[in-house]
Amino acid sequence: MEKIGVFICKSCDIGNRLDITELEATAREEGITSVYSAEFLCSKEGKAFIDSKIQEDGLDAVSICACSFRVNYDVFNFGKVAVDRVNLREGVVWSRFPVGENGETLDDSVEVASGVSFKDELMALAKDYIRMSIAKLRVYKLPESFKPEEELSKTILVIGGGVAGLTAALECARLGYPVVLVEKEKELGGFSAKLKAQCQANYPYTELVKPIVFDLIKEVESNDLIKVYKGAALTSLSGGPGLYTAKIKQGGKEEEVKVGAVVLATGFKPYDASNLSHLGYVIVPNVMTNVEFELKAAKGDFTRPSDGAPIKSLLFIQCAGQRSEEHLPYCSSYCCLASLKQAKYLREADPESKAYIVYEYMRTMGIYENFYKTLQNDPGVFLTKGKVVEVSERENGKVKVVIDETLFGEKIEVEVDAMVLAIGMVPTTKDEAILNLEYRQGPALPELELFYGYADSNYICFPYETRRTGIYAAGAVHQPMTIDQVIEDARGAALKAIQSLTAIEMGHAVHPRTWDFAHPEWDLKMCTQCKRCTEECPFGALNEDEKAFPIPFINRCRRCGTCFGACPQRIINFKDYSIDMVSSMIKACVMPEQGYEQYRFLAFVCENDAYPALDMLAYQRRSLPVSLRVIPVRCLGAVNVAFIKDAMSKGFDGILLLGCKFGENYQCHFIKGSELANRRMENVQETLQQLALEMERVTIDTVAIDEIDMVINKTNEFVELIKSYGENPFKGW
Amino acid sequence: MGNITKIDANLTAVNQIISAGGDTVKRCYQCATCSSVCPLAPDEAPFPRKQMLLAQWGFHEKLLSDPSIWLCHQCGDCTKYCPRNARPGDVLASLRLQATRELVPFKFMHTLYNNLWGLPILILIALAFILPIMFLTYQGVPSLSDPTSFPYSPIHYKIGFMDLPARVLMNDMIFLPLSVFIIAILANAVSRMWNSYLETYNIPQAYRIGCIDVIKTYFIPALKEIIDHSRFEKCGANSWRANPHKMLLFGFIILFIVTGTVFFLADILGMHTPWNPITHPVKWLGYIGGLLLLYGVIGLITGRNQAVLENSLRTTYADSYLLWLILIVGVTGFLIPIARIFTFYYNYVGYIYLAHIISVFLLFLSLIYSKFSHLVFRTTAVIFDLYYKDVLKKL
Repeated sequence: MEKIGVFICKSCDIGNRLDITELEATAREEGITSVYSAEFLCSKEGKAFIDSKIQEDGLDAVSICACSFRVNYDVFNFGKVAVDRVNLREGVVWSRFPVGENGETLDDSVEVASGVSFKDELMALAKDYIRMSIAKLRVYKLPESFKPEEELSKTILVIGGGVAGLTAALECARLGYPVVLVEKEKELGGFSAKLKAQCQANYPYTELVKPIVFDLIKEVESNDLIKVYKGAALTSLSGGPGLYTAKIKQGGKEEEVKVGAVVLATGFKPYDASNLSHLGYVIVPNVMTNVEFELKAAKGDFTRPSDGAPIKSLLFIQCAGQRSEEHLPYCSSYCCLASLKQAKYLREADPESKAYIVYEYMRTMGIYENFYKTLQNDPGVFLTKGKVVEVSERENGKVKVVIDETLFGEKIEVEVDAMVLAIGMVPTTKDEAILNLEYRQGPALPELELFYGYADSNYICFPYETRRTGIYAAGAVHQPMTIDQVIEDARGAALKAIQSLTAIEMGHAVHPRTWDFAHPEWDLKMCTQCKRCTEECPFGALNEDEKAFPIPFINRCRRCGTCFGACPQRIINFKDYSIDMVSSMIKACVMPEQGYEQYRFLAFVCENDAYPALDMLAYQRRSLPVSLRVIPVRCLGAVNVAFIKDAMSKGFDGILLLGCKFGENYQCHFIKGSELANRRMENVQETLQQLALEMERVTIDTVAIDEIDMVINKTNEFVELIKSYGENPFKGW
Repeated sequence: MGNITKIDANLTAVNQIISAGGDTVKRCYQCATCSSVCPLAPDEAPFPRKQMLLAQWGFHEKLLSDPSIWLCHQCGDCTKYCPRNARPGDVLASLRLQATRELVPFKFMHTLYNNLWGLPILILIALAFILPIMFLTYQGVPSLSDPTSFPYSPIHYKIGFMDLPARVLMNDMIFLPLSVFIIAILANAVSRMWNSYLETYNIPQAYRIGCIDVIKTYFIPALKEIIDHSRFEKCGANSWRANPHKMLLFGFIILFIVTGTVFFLADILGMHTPWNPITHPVKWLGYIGGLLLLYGVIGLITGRNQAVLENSLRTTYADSYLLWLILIVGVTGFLIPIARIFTFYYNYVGYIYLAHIISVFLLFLSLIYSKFSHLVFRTTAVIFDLYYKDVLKKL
């Protein structure tokens, strides 16, 4: 940017603790002529003041030295004028205090190094921030949103014609989006169309009703916006959001369809019960799975498989092959409800019959507790917690079950006519690619090895998201769930698919950087085909050509900057965020001379959780070391090793990376960013050791958004440790 | 613990428990809040969590041979704190009623006692016993509206050295055989109860002791506990019950002593009533007993109404029946001497006297057919509890 203005706010303690005139002088020293300060820049008057100066001075960029960029972003918006926010409030005056030995706050005039007062250090920090902002704006370019040449498709492809798929298709069609629905089977309806009945999916959740899927089928088949392919399969999906080409094979012929976004709703398969011989499956003739019993019941058949005698007593075993490391390690969430439902079938068919349910954990999701209560009240339903120890066949065809750890406090033996194993769900994505993506990273959704093959990405923050932009999972392929939950899930996924199409149409990123109109650009002249970007992109946004050059598909990109952080050639840059920009910011800091015990630390802090934590600690007036300079980054994955080199050679004594947790229970907003950063920093630490430097000078730490104490402790420990090592020997080189 | 118990849920029994006032039993989901909050459940064998489970599965026999159901004083803490409103306290009350039914012969009487429609039949039964004896001892049909004809007829009987007025002979002829009948039935029931408890708790043969030893060792401590109401006083939600119930018990004990004294003084020594209602010390003792009884029973009735509002207790017909019967016994008992002081209704004394005899007759029988049986059965359970704790110590 050519014409930069610096505006310093004097309110919210900034004017009290900082010398505003000196700060103005610093900006002028950097060659800025339009330097102003005022009270309450965020007020109507303040904003009008900035607006008038932009007009008068012809500014194309402004550096607002006031509060955190996380607040008042709507106020400090000047259209085509580039804005950078210098966080003097949360980042300086509200979070840096001289702290005495007993934790008390001292006066700013206290000496922190020989001849240096705390106030001097605080001013040095504020000045560095202003210099960094000016350096940043100098290399800043206004973002241009990505507009592909080809026409964007607004069609939504729904894979799977069960409750999830049908609901998603209907929801999309209701909002006017054309839908292509691909169903593997000859008929729509999926598994729930085979049920005898389903639990009521509305209040009071106590009754059995005809499966609602039949209504959905009728609605879908009569909707003109929905094109249904039955007995069909998706053989290939190429391109990216808004620009997908789906190849659908139906009968013998294959058809190419242009689609914009995808809802994956292929559901589940029942767990293979042949692994459950210890519970008598196959070995004892009158032992069935819940799926088998459901199909029998749907035909009105309540007889024993072995001899056709009526079932007078039936025992259900919950969690059969579930919550067990040898089988399915998770709870499939529908099975308790299914067994209660099937017990009701039997009790209604024969009021003299008895239904036993042996559970380890009785779990009925949500308000289905009401259904459980209703069945509990049935005199002929007998429930106990317990573990099955033995299942065997008696001469009369009966099934003998021995149960331990029961509520009776003793081992019990029950003899019943038949037994049902409540087996769990296995997602269809477990063993099949299904999507058949023509992506460099493979045809299937990448396995996180955290969700047992389910098409899930993060259970808290980002439901429906997969690691393939524009593809959203719904129903039992997403998580094990009941029909009731599936409906809600399908609506969410449909909305997400529509949202992604809108984002692409408008040219900004999809979740979680929906405000971001910039996108990465490759300067391929310098590319060494190292493949790091194509391999590491958490969202598989890049394909490769035959020479291993990257082919970016911007619509698949989430703007996390992992590629930017990975590239050793530094050829990947955003208009408003570049390697040069961060390097300039680092270089803009002023280093004290060596030997005066004035340390300088640099922290790259993830904007998603760690930076908010810093802001929050400022609101509590907690203190961070005054020697720490913070550069926010979009993800730790977007920290290029070049930044570390620049900072070390600039003379920073230590570099701290603060980001989201990775691994199991990860919280990284870009799923893999902080994990990749960790791997890169291990390499950096090795290099440091080769240079005979302490490896802790570059440290990566992970925090959650609310772990304020941990942030404070970790930064203080880091600073103290590096101080114990002494100054960076390369300082002043 | 290699033992495996063969079980088969009993649907019929479950339905029976449900229809007998345990209609909330199936709601229990075994969280054991009840056993945790129960101030009376012993650590060795806590209740009522397990009893709820047994009831849900219809294990009738196991339940009825379990002293726990009698150790419960229905404080209502469990009912108050039950997150499912399964009302364990009320379920146990219904189980006690069923246990009584199982232990005592002539089950139709139990049915009559515990249903409103049975009340007129019970009164007729009482009359069927009382009237023939009355006609026999009064040598014909006395006039109820003439106190000198009934009850204070001049007819006297000399049997050996005893000189009995007609009403005394009548009462003896009604209540002595009735007492013998009730005692015989209770003795049999208690013995069956005890033996089933021994089986339920698997008391080793070596530790089983005879009836005399049990009474010698445990009866007095148990009695002391009962008179102190030490268990009752631990109750949380309905601690108000301890005091009126205690007073009621004292009233009964005093009235029992008074009746014994009167029987000895009048029937044996011939010092026949009516005694001077104002000066006679035995009369005074009787008044104290009667007042305690009235105080207790009225306290229980009003307290119960409050507890019902607080949802810690439910009042069934069986509960009301007993309380109101005791109230009628007390009120009619007082009306007789009052009638003799306030002569303006002296002529009704015959009716009051008959009503009193009928209500006392029904109260006697209620010892075996209503929840009044807890007087004996709970005492037995308390004795067993003391004994069992001792056995455990020895084991």
